[in-house]
Amino acid sequence: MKKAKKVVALLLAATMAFGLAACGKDAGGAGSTDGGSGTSTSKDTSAKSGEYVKLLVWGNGSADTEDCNEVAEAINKITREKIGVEIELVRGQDAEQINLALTSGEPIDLMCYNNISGQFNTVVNNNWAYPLDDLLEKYGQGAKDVINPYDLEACKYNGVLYALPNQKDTSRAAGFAMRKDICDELGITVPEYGTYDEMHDILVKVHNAHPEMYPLVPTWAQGGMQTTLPADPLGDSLGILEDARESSTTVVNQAETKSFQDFCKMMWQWNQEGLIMPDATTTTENALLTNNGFAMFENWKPGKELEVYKGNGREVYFMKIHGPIKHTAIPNGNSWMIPYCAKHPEEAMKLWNLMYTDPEISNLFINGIEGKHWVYTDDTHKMITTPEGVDPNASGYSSMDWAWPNQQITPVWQGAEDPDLWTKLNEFNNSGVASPAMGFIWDSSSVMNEVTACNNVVSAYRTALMWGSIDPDVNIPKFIEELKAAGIDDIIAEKQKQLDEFLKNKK
Amino acid sequence: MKKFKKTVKHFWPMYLMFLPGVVYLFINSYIPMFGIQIAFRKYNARDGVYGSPWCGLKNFEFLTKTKDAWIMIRNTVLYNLVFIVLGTVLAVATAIILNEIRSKMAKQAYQTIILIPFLISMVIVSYLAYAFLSTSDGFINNTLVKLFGIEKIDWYNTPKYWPFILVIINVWKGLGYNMILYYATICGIDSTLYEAAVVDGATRWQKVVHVTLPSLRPTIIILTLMALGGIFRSDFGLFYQVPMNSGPLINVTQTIDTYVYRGLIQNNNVGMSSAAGLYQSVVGFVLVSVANGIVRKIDNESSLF
Repeated sequence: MKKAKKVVALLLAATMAFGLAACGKDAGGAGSTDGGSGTSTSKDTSAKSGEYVKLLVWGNGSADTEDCNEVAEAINKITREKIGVEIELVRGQDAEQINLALTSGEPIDLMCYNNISGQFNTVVNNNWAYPLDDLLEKYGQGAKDVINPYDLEACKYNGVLYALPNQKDTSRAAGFAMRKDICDELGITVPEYGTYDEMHDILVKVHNAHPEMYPLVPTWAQGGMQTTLPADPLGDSLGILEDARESSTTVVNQAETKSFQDFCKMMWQWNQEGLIMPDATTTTENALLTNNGFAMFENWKPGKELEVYKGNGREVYFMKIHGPIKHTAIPNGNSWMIPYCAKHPEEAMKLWNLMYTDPEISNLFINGIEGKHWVYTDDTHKMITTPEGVDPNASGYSSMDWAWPNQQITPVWQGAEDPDLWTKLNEFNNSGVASPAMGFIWDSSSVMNEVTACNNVVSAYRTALMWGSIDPDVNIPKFIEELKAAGIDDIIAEKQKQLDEFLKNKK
Repeated sequence: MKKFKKTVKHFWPMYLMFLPGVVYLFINSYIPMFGIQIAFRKYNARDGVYGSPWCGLKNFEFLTKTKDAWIMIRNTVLYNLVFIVLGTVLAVATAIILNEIRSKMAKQAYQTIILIPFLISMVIVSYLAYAFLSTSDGFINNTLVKLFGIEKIDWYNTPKYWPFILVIINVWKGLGYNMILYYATICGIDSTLYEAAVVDGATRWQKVVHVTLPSLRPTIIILTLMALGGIFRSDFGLFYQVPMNSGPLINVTQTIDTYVYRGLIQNNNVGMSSAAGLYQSVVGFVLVSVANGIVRKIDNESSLF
């Protein structure tokens, strides 16, 4: 009996040790930031690659494992020589897989946080990212030259740098994407900027001419919507600035703002008229323009027409509702970080630097392998297209240029208006009107209970209201009342306090 | 000690059979218990389980503080009670009816058909339901409208239908499994009891009431006790996937599990989800103990422990 007890005790001890080992490297990792010597990190290199440090890189977007391995091998050929590094590339992990990996401390060296809900805000509030200031200074000079310092500010939290912004659209101009074939057929001319009323007329025209079509469909599954409201969500949308273009820095409850309420009423009206896809909030399909959808909410940027075409296989016209705006979440959105559990943060920074500065590496990461995933259109090597016989929507390595550090040093895909796309994109980015709270990151830890409760209320009402599925006259007051019961006012007060503090220090 | 050795020597094949179950239980139920402490810590991944600071009962606050707490506990408990009662009654009834069928082929065919839903994943069930209920393309909306000329029903935005839909789906899905447990018990009933009943001139109905049901009683009690232990738990798939995570339905589909998931998928607060899990387990444990105590008082033989 005694022996049995001993065995049990031993087993218990073993399991505890096992649990402990989950993220056993923290101490070493933290130490090497100030030390900065390469020896400590190269010692625990996985035996697989021998003399080279092996980095685990998690990118965004779907790709087959074999294609990823092939791309990684092509990249290794360059990086072995340049920085003594080999990589393992993984793409297409969804939010839950990423959360799990980060919570349990998987040793990922460099990752795109696009799929994490709440993105940068979530990352810093959970302490998931490795501080980058020293690393950037030491190994990231090239990247530093490329990045707009203004956008870099948005990646700081309490003065510490935790991410680097991708060289993508850092402003947002919201509006509608409409199918070109239908517009041309019905003789609809789409203005560059328009109003909701104009949009309504177009939708009605399409509805009358094509009753079998859904005039307005979600941008992505389950009622996804690129909102056209010009608000600054201040992180989690619980407490926002109603209009990022205005100078007001009063944090308000979005449900109580006139712009939100008017929008919900309008959508309810549109829904009653049959202009909205009936299953908008429950459909599980993406790319709804492909079949019988006509228009969707979408943000415009230079080259966006091509992106929509790549995703939906339909050419589109854009009508913008408001001009480019900029708030914290736009430049720091879909960017990259070095997770806290990275085994080789220094090498990761070196690689990251190359992704910003080396066109060949950036192109491999973004577009894959020449001849297999893309080919040049002509000898000028400025534009690329899919190789013959490859379905652009089913390539083994999908091209999502905005989700990688630097798309601007890679060739432009054919179908974009011109090879000067990157110049135009930068002009567009610089034209964005910045929110007064630009750079503000909110720390929700002191009102966690309220945030949890409010998020539940939001998930009950927001999507349904914004798609006009439920009557706003009845449900907006209920929404507000429940938010208040869940403690939205405490959240707003806390956020306002932090924002005021931030603004004071900014001056 | 000597006695223990003797028992082992005598019953070792039994212990051997018992071993895989113990190993399974140990790996799946005991090892994870070391994580219970996370419920009392302000967990952050960087410091790990042992490094995160303690925070007392703070993680439990959200379960009681909000008004949602009442809704989700009400939903969880009431749905489970309905599932237990309806599930048991229907399963026993089908098991008895199945037992009355003479043809062996037919018996097996029915048994298989009733069991199939149990083997289908909840995600697939949710799409089956969607095929019925989708507003524009759903089977019901397209047939109802044509047959009765009723206005199309926007199922996923109308909460009042969902208590029934969820109960129907749950019973349809779980019936086969419960039925097999009862059916197995019925097969094991001593046939001499039935023969004696026939000699006494009992009708079919009387045989069911006086022989089958009393023989089933221990099984019913044990299964109900186990179900009571899970009364604070809910099938996440049923309450989240099947309603397609539709917002307007939340008041009737919110259970503790979905609440925790919804809140935490956005906040990633591991401490809070551990707290909710622990809370469910403790309440379940208390309920089983209490229910078992009551059963023991009434009928000592039938109690679980």
